[in-house]
Amino acid sequence: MRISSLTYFTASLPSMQDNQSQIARLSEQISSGQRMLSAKDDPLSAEKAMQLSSRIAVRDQYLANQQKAGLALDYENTILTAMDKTLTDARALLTQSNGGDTQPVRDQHAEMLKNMYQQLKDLANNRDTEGHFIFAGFNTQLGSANPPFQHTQVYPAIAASGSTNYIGTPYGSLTNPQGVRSINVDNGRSVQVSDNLDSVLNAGLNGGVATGSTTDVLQALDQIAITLHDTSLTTTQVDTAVNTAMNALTATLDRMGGIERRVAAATLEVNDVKKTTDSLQLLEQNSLSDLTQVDKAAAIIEMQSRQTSLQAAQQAYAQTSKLSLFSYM
Amino acid sequence: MASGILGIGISGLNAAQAGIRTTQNNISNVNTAGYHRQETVYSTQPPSFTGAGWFGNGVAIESVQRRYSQFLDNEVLRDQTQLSRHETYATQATQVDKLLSDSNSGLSDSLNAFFNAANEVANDPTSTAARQTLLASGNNLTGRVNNLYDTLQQQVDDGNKAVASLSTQINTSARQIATLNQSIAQLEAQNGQPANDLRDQRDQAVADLNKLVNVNTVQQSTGEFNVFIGSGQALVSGSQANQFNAPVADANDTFNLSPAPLLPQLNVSGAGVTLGSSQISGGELGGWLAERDAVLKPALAGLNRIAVAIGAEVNRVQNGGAYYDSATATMKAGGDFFSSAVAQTGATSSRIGVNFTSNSLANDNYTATYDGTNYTLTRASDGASAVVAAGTEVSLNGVAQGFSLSAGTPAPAAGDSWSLIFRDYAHTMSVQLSNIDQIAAAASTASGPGDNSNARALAALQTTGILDNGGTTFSGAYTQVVSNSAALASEADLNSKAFSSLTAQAKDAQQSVSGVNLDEEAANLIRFQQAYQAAAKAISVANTLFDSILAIVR
Repeated sequence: MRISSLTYFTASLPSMQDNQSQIARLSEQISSGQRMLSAKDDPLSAEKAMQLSSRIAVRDQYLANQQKAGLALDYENTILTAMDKTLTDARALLTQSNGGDTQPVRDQHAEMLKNMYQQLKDLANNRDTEGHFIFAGFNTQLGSANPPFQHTQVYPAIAASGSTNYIGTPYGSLTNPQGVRSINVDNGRSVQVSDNLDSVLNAGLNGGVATGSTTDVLQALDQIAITLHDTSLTTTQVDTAVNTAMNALTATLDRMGGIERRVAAATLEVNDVKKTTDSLQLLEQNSLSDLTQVDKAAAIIEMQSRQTSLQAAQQAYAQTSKLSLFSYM
Repeated sequence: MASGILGIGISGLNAAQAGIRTTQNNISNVNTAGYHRQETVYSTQPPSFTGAGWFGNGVAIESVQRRYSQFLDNEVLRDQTQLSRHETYATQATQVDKLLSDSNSGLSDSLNAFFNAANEVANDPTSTAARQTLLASGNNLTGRVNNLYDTLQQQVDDGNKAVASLSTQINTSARQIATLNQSIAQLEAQNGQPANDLRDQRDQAVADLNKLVNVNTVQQSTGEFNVFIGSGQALVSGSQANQFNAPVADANDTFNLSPAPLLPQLNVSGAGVTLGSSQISGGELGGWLAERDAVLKPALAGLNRIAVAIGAEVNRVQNGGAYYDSATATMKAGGDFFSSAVAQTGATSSRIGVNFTSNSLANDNYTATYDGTNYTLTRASDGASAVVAAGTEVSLNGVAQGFSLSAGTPAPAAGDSWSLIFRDYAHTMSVQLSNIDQIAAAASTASGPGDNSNARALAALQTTGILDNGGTTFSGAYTQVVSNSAALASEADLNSKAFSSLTAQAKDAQQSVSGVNLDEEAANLIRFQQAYQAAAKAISVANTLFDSILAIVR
């Protein structure tokens, strides 16, 4: 075929340009580690990669939420265990107490019960790292001078102990009846991470198990210490009071157990969800990197072969451009 | 007889000179764009009759003709105009694709960051840090949306400028072709010989014009070209050129974009003919128009739809909640987080909801009025209105508007009205809250600051299907917008590669007929040189003949 000089001279240009642009592209891929430099490079994979990235981002957040939920539950569990221990200790002490004890023994028991009362009240009014009372429901705005469980200790004075005043979110006052907080741990799945102790410590007052001051555990502890300290009472009167206090402690421990079991179950659930989230996220991250990461070995090999063909094209140009009939005339 | 001998020699000399001249012209124009190589066409002189028969009288120079194949030249034109179109298309679509899919400019990251921050507020509703992060990421999200939308609008504007500039260039080119037509017709009528160089110039002018916009040419018997554009509108007829007016707004822009996309308008004998992407299918102009219709407009509409959905949904959730105002130490009802996409007008306390169908959301504003049973929707741009029931997609003049209304809560009273502010919402979208207290994390004013239920509802929007009748999340909808432009950009890349090689092949074929080959010209040069030498020798022989005769006489 007849060929024009223009065609002849420019024939190797497209090949050189193509090789050069491919080399530039490959080096960009290798240095960025990304196979697709923009979505148009592979629209289908890019679409999948975007969906995966979004899902991974959501799962990242769920993992953070799960961690937060786990921490809150662990913290609550620690406090509940301490309260449980205090209540159990108090009950154990009372099983050793009876009206027949000498006054010094009774006074010693009274003093120990006073401390347990104080400990229990402090635990019920525990505050988290941000200074919020953890058992005040939604009323986190309460100041440190205004704890949710307010009870004035009468002991060592000899008088009747008053009932506990609770100023947190009252049990049953909201559509979310306990005023407890939940955290989203997965799509459409949330875990309750706090509890309302109103119904545990103070059940008599607000829609709880039974009525009567015996279920108000702070009042009961204060009252039994006063009773043991009171020298004017008969053995029978003391025994009856000890029994009443034991009943109150047992009932409170029962209700406390319910809450502790809930916390344990919630902790299990969070751990379970976390495992699923972790493995799903791993799968998604693997698919994402399969989609988006460049195969460096293949890219480097291709780069070398491109360089070879670029050199060949350049050499071909250099050789053929010298040829001209005019050189021989 | 002797003068005959000399005359024949001279005709040979002239012929060889003419050949050398043509060859030199070919060599000189080896790099001239649009040059077709020329050949001197020879024929024999009329012979003289003698009793012994016909004696030749030498050579005559018939003509100088260019090697031209209309078929091959047209093939180049056809491929070239498509190449220009797809290159322009690919350049523009690539910009949109890079903008939308890049993690630094795209929406995905800031969308995720916003909802992650909402989750953190849900995890810790009283944390100032979490609330500040949510407010900041809200600002970042609206900033991104504004920036993306503005950049896309800027591209519409760039397109409008390109249409205007191309119209002007086409006008110049058309006038040039008309002028060349006139000269060619005149010269060829006068001399009866082809005006090769003018024809080359005109072919080149048509080729240049064809890169701007695809044209059809029809050659007349006078040698003039008539040039047609679009769906058969005459751009050049003979020595007359029609001109483009200033571009006009597209009256049938279903996207109702701002800035309004402009279309080229050709002035055909005083009547303006507006040409759209369906008429102009090639050249840079065709590329701009097609890319705008297929990539830019859907990207703008899609982005605005996502912005409206985010604004409407986040505000709906926020308005349904409550927050603790630390200044007054009371719980207060929540308000708009983002600038309102759906606003109450008048005294109604009812809030109306918007559901997004799978149709593109029209870029317009509306008012909705409740009559006790149904809603009357009136479009702001043209006053078109329709009565629709809650849950039925709004359709005006037979065009689905991309949304339906959901019954207001609390139940509205007859006469209540609302305004829907969708037009360029992505351009104006901003964070409405100024105080981090106002993030409504609590469910109701009856609860306390530690309530996180509403913040959880806000966070859950991230994974809730909201668009496409509840089938698509915000990020899913954004992915759709990105993949639409990515698919088209990728297709345009493939097309420009295909047409690039087709054009190269067509050019090679055309050049194989019309291009100059220097080696060939070198050989021609030697051929004509030898012919010249031979003719000169013949004259010298004739000369010696004379000398011999003269010597006899002497």
